Amino acid sequence: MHPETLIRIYANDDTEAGINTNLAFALGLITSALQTVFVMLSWILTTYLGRRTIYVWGSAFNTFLLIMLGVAATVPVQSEAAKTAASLAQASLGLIISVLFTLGPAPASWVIIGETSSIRLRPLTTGIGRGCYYIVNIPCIFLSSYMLNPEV
Amino acid sequence: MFPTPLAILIWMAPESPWWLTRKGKFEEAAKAVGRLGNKTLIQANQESVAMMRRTIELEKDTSDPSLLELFKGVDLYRTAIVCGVYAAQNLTGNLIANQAVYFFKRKPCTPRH
Repeated sequence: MHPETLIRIYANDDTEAGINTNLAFALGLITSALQTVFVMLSWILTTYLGRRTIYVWGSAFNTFLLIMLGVAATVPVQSEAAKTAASLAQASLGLIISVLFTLGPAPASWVIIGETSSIRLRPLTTGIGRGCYYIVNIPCIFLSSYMLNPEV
Repeated sequence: MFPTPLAILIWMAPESPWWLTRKGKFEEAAKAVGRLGNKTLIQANQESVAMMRRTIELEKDTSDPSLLELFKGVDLYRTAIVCGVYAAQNLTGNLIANQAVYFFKRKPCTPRH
């Protein structure tokens, strides 16, 4: 977890929150704990399923859940009860997505990155790949600042 | 805080079968493959090590690697796969996995008038 995430949570007050700070912090701790457990479960998973199966189906399922998260975040809400329901749906989907990411696509992607390149070219291939990661990362961070800050 | 436990774990970690094969320690490499895989596939260990030896021999080339080679023949596919997988980490959960708490705290979207 990014340290800056925690700082932002402590700095935030409750007035504009979807769910309150204590619940958000508890969910954050639960997510980190579950991620640790699910990375360990992925070691067991790899003995039964191939990396391709894990990566393709894991990513497809996570994409589906991300779309559902998007729906929960954009559906128009009028009442306070519906607002709370929508934030809880987002929070639970966020938890499920981040945990499933550490069970399937995340470990599998590191395996693919480490094994695909030829041994002689491995440092170069990995370097270029990391470059690609940052190129896609820039618009993602830019967009996420709009997604995550109600003030922007 | 992660580097310290990682450093300890890496120091205690068993050698990788690839490294052992490259150093010519084939028996130990077969043992390492056995530790990593399913126990019922134990007889396949020798075959895995033979496969590694073949790959290492095929790729044995002492000339300096150049960036241009990344975009030629089979290596182009390898580069494309690695780049695609790396870039896709951003798109299937990395952001939410890293910023989960802040995401939970986020205010829901309300229609603006």
